[in-house]
Amino acid sequence: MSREAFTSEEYDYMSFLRSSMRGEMLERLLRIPDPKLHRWIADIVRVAKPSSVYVNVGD
Amino acid sequence: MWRAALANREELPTRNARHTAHFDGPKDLARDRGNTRILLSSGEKIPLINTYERRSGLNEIKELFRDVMKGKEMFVSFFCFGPRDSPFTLHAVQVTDSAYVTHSENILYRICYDYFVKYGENLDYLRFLHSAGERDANGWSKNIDKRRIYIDLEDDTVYSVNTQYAGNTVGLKKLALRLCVNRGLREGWLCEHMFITGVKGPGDRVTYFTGAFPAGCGKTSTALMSDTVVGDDLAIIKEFDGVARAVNPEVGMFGIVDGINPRDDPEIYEILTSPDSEVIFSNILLMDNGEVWWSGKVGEPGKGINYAGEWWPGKDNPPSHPNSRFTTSIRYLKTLDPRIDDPLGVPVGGMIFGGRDSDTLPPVEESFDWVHGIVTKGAALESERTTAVLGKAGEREFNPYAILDFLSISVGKFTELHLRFAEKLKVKPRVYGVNYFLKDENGNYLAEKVDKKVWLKWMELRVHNDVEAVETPTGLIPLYEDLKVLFSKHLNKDYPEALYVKQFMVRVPQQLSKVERIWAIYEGIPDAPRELFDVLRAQKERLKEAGSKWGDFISPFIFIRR
Repeated sequence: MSREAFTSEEYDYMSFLRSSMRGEMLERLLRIPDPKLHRWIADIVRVAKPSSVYVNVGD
Repeated sequence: MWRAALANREELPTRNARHTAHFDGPKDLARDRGNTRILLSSGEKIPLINTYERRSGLNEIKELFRDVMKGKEMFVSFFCFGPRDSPFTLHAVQVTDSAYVTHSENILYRICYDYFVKYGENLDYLRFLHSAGERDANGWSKNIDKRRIYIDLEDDTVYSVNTQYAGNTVGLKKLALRLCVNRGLREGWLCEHMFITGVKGPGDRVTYFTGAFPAGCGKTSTALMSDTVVGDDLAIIKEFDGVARAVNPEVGMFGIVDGINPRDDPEIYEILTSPDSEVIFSNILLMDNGEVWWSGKVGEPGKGINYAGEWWPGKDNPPSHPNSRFTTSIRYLKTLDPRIDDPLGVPVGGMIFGGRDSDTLPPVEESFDWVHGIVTKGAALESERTTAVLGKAGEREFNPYAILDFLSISVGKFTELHLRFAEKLKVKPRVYGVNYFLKDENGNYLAEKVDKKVWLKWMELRVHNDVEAVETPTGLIPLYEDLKVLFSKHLNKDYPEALYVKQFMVRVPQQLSKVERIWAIYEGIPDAPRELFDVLRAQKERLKEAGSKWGDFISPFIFIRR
């Protein structure tokens, strides 16, 4: 389905994610083959500016 | 996740290592109807639904989210909304800066990260984005005036900000319900604000019921009083091979704890006081000795902190809030139904609608058929207001299907959906109305909390035509002799004939007023189906005819003797 991004800017969201998220968390996110999801998360991080991202897998 | 919630003091430790306490703050104790809006393109208006122009709403939300998570950790979680590997199930991503919200969801929902890894962009999922916003020294959300809960139906995404109360923030609860109601309309199934329970009948058969009640009207206690529990709050109902089947999309309970006591609610009381259960209490009293207290708990409240700050005996606010809550796993229930994870759910034998009504409706009544039931019990549901929603307690308000707050479509369309849904069914569920809150002329309740068990047992027998019923102008009520047997058998209680008369008397003026009220409301709903008015008209005629023959207050024995 088409998903709206959280920002309308064009930017290299993958580079942004790689610079924003630490190793294991980034791996957990990228293990999901969904570019729209990655873009959405990157957008949120860009706008809301959390200091870190935790990908919760129930651990 | 509870460690993170404790570390940032969104949750506080209690004397019990597995119980924590969360406080939302005095202005964030209930769902915020006024600031919860359905975003629609072109600014379409829907009667009774709070809508907002989509692009304006999204722009506003994006500005509110700007820098809102600075200094905080953001949590990304992946859940199933339903059993795994099930044709019922939806999937969801929750993004939040609240460890409390994440902790709550870890308890309430099945974690399905593996589905997202496996199916990736082929997975159709709901999205939830939340921030508690800036928190003050008490840990409460500070900018309550900028609290917003916006539901974007076109993108299956919900945004909530500057709030922590779980009804405004836990994405897969009432926020998902709004998205799913819309999906159900598109795809021809029902997403309901209903429990799902099993009631045992003769020969140990189990008959499943779904039930819709507004908050604070006995829904959770009804669910927990049944013989088995599949779910206590939400249901997805679909047709398979001509049978209506239901699943619980959740695996936890977020129930009102205020009033929970060992006599009326033994099982849930045991869970909430057990050191082995993981429980998040919200807006209770956390005493200085580490014990939690709520109204109904054994023992007296002592000095501590509550939803409004420091508390001590004699202070002018109640120690625990009337909307104080518990969040815990449904799997602790001894009565948990073995089919909780069944991908095909359970067959629905009966559907129950109940509200808080002090002067009109009997404790239990079966409708004449599906259409009569959906209209007179579901679409016509009203309830005297409680404190689960911001507003004035006690006023009667219209709450069709107990879902009005969570509708993202017109109640006319939702009613039409129910009427059309049943056309696919070989056997339609029986539809019932229940009312635990009928009062006598002195303002005393005419039933006790535990009496729910008898009403459930009667309904179970009726689904299988094991007992007769009395036809009244508004539906089918029990025979006195059958209730006498059920009260004796299940509650070891006498059931006086005088009480039966008071409870099941047909209150003609009140019933006619109800028909008038509901008619007037639906006259303002342009897409209300014609059948609704046909049913109400016929009900009115039956009531008027009965009233002209037997007066305003008609004993049920009049109808038995006919």
